[in-house]
Amino acid sequence: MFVAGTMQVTGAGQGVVVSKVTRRQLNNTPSRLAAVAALSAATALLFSAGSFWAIGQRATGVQKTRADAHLILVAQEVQALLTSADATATSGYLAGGLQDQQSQTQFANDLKAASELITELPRTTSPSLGLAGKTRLTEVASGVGEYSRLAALAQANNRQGLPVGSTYQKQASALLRDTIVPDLQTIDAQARSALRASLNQGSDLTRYLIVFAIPFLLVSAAGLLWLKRLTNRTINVGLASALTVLLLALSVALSTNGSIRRESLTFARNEFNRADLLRQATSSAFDARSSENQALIFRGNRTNYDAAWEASMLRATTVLQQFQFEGKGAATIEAYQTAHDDAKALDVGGNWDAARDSVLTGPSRQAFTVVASQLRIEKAGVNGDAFPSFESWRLRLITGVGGLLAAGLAISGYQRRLREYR
Amino acid sequence: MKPKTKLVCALISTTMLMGCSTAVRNDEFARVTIASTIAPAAPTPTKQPTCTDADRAANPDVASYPPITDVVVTPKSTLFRLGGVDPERIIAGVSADTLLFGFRNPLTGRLEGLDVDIIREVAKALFNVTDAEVDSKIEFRVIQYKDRLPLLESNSIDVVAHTMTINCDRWKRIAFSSQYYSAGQKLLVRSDSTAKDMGSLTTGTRMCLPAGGTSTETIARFKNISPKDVVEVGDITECLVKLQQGQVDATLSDDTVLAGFIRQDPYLKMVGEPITEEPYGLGVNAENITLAQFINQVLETLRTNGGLQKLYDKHSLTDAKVPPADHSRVPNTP
Repeated sequence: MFVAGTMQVTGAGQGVVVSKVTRRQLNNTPSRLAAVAALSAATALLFSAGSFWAIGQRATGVQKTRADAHLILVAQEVQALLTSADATATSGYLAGGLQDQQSQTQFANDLKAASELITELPRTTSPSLGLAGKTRLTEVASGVGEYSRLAALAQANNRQGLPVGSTYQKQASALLRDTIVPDLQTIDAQARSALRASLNQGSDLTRYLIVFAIPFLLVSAAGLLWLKRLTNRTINVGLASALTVLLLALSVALSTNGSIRRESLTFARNEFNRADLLRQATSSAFDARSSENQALIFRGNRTNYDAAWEASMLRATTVLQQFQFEGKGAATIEAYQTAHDDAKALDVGGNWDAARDSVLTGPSRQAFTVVASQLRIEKAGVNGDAFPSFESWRLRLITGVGGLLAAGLAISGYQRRLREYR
Repeated sequence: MKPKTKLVCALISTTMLMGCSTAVRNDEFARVTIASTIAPAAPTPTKQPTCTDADRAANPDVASYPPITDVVVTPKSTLFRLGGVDPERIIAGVSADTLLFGFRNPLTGRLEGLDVDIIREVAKALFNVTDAEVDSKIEFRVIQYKDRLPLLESNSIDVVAHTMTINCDRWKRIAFSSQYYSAGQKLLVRSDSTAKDMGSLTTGTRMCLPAGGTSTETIARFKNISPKDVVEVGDITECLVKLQQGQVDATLSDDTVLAGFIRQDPYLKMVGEPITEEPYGLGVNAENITLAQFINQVLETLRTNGGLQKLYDKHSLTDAKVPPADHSRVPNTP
């Protein structure tokens, strides 16, 4: 509302009056200089505040990237641990009688480690998982509890020679295969999609920084040209300094962002990828081992378990080939495949007892133990969790102060010209 | 171009490159997936033939074919899956979790039970081998209740020994041996249940049954059990698990199977009198009458030399009596 004397001007008339007043006020050079100085300062402040916000967003994005990557590895690790536990349980069932101490310890350790990882997840989980994902995580946690309970009942019945133990073991394996693993894979898929998005978020900061800098750059460039024409002086020192300060802040921000992004991508494409693939290969290998046991437990029904074994081993080898798991690693896989084929031939040939011996204590068991140890050694050698971090406060300070300084220098440049003019 | 302009242009182009050159592709960091080719389940005929009154009048359920002894296994034998697929071995469908009849002994890993031993007797006679050699002549296939008939119909297996009741409807689809055991359906509940028989069960009682078993037909006679309270499972032992977990309140099955459950869980009890008669026979493909006749000869020998009673005793079925054989069914195929 504009008040002129005692008369109130409202509605369409208001704009006309203001416009006339503004035009009258800008009708002289000092007014114009003051207005352009204000505009320059405003655009510099826009850069200061905008880049402060955008860098904050980027820092959150980097945090999300770390959380997503951690979530992927944990989901994979939990799956690998559970499939390992299930392979041990099915081996124990195939063996019959009292399970050997080593297998019992392995089973208990795998389940304990899986439970601990899941318990830890809600504190470290990615915000991109959302409510549905968190609910699914809770379901996985309760599923693991239920799996442990069923497996314990299976073992207890088994030790007493009661065949109902097989049904408990079957239910435990079905719970793992049909509920827990699909839930983990859904979480994993969500986290992978979020990881790709958060890794690409680096481009957003570049765009934001440029967008927030452009108004000041344009206003300052136009101001320099205008002042040059107005005064016949080559350069306005204040304004040129403001431009330099802001360009410096911008280039520091862009190069820092670029280097963080490059570091993140390099890490993701190397250490993280290797850790991820090793976990995938481990769970596939143990899946194959479970199928091998089940083919002998549910004797006479090899077809489905063989198909599952083939698929798991193909997945394991495909995964391992992606980072040249060659030499000793590839040889161990081949040795296991050969031993498995021999055991299968024994079973198909009617010598189930010999096939069972091969899988439980003979060549197939020995070859698989070597594969599992090799994978554990490889896995221990990589740390996919150490995703590069981003200390954003320094960059926020540089751009924030840079913007404020640019605003001050621009105003001083215009004021100097204004003083000269008067 | 002036040096200052050049600098600005270089700066802008560098920053643009930093933002765009290393974008993550949609297929990066994807989980590696390999589809497994799981074989389809055994075929199930869409329309199941059922018995007519005329069928029932023509033959009693338990009537099988007359025994024959002059069976010689040759490389071209048509006894096995009707085409001589593997005359070296017989494929037998058995249960792996029905204590006393067909179960995998958790302590030894071996298949045991009355059904399994009868198959061993058949194989011993068929291949003229000793006890020590007989397992190499049998391919045991662990099957579920619902797969017993479809697997025989599709010639995927030679014989089924899986607590299978001989009845008229099933004769329409497969052939049976003579009866080798006589069971009856009973009700199993928790030991603290007040139920006395099927009729005393209250509405809302959750009942567990194996899919493809005869108890599905029996339960339909009891109006106090709503179909929505019936839980069907693949294997009868899943009913034991559900009872132990409190997911169902009762199960209806053959007393032989239920006796095996009580052996595994003393907190269960059978109540009431047997509701039905369940004569057990070995199943073969409907056209493989020669094999049915050969099995009948093996069973007849076991009946006369006391071998069948010995097998009952071996598997703690000491109260059971060897049922008489009825060989009055006339083979109607060449």
